[in-house]
Amino acid sequence: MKLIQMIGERRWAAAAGYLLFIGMMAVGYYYNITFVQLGLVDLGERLLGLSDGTVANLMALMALLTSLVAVSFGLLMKRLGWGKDFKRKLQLATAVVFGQTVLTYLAPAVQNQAQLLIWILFTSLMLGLGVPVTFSMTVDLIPAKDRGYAAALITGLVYAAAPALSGNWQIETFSRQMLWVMPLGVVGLGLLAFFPNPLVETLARQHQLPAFARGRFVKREKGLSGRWRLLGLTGVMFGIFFVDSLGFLRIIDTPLYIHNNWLSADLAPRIFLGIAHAVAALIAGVLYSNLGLKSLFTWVFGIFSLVHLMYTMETRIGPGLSISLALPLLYAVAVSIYTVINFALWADLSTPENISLNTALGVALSGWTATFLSTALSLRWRLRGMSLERHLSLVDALALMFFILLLISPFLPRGNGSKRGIK
Amino acid sequence: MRNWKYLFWLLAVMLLSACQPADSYQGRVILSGSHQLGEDEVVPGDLVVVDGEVVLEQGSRVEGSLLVLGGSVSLDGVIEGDITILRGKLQFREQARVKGNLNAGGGHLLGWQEAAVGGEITENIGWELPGELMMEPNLNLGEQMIRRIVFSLTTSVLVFLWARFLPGPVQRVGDAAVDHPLVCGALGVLVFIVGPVLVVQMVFTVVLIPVAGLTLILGALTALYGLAGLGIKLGSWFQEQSGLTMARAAQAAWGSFLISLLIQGLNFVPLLGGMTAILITAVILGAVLLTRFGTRVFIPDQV
Repeated sequence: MKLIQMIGERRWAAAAGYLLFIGMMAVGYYYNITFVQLGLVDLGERLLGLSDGTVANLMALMALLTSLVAVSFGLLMKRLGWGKDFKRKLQLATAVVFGQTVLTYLAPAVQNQAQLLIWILFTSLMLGLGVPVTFSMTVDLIPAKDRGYAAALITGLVYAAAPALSGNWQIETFSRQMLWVMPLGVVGLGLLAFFPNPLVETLARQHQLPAFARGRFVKREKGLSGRWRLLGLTGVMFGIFFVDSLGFLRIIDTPLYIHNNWLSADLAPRIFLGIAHAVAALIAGVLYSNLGLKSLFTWVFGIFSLVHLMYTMETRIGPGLSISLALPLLYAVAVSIYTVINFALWADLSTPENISLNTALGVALSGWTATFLSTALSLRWRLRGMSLERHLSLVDALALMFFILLLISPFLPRGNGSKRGIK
Repeated sequence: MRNWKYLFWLLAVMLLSACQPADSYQGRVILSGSHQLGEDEVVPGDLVVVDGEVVLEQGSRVEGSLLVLGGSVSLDGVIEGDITILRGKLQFREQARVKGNLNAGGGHLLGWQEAAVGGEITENIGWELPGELMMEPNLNLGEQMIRRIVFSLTTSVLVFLWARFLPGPVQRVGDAAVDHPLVCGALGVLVFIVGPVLVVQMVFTVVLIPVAGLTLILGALTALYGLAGLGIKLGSWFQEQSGLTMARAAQAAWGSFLISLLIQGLNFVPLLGGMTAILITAVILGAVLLTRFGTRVFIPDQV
């Protein structure tokens, strides 16, 4: 692991940059999975009394806006060459975190649907800006060889902290939690971004080093152009996020499973799941750094299909079934693995020139759009009174479809320009 | 890659099997705790008891079959299908009635001579799980050590044969385990997490119990293969250090004998010993999988 090497060689600036990235992304990820994804549902349904359908529509809107802003800004950053400008990215990150802090403070005070709509517009704007800005810092702060390990650290930290931090899953709680951390982030990032210092000067030059500059999967294999490869992997990751979120939101609300998931009032299952997530993240980090993409995705989809199959089976076996922790354990493993991949993959398909657009396309389209669209769909299905069994069967069918697509993908026609890499 | 494709097609077929109509199968699985079925109460499908305590009172009815994989069952009601016991305890009471067959593969079966069985009674059904009757008796330390040495010797004989006829693949497995223990360990731990859940899930389907048994056997053979790989490396190192000359298969056998003893010895150390033994096993399992059962050299896909 390069971080240990950096510390051993007393390259404190590089190590500090590494840790800055881990901390920034971990807080950002925690913010997204709690405050944004779950807090918005709570805000709409509980505080404002909106129907499931309305909240579903608002979430879909937020997803699309976030993706639109992210891709547009990613493209703009690429055109302006900001992907290579670390200081500019730091300044933008400071502005984004400041904006998010204000929005976090205001969230519990939202009183009607019109205010919520405005809040969503600004939140989408901040999230959309944040994606290409923060993810493109990978090329400045994390050596290509270590991106899997860094992603594992981020995922592991978030999930290890989550059992202790998750409580009643209400927007007010999330808001209070985040407001402990975010102002500190604004001050810290602001000091680095707006006051000249040798640390930032050193970090700003790192993207020129071979160890940082070129992603692991850039120009590696013949037969598929870089652009097609990026689109293909975006599709695969979209499928994973979409199917997962579609199943997760229904499972997490179902009384049968509630005692053994993150909503459990009991701390023990939450700690167990947190540890499982963290261990799986470390495993994923090691495997990501050493296996090829094909093996990696086959493992992910294999485990993923198994998890959804098992949830469907358990639902079918029916009442009287004793629910164990085996299912949430497997679920946690699958989620950790693909989260690690999502953190590392897009930067590894990029160079400093195109990282802002590539990460925006990858994260926004596969992560945000898929998660929010599936969340909206899940709420719609529930609104129509769809049974848990039917819901999970559909999730199973989708998981199976993506699994089969992955299996037949080697036989699909390949794009031209195989030797061009990702431009 | 072909082997992996077969494995994942198998998973795909299993996934398809989940997309069956809602009421095509009904059953109840008991994993723990005490459960009682009172008079006139009915279990609509099969009843699978994995662990815990189940009392089927007089007048109760199971419309499907009863499968006992563990725990204890007291039966004073009616089973419309068959009864199969592989492990655990089944006590027949006065009013117990089985309309189908009674299949006993293991475990404790009490009072069955007086039970009303409509079908045939089969005492050995071919599939047996280790049950209370087969559990290890209380041995003193010396006896335990002798038992473990005998086990390690038996293992090393198997490893000798394996390394004798497949020296190249075994060597590749050993190389992967020694050169890339972190990657092998990570994959091995993943298999340790996913594998048991998969096997238990197969058992729940009842029809896949034989497949679950085969999976366990395959897992044991994989571990043995990995042990051979790591053994050949340790044996080779031992040869270099001692100056003795040994054939490659003998190196593997000697090395695996030592590793097997080490793993078993570690189990005497509370917590840490067991975890270390699991990690060593994970490394060798991962090495076998990463080299695709020794058919290729594992080279990490790095920058």
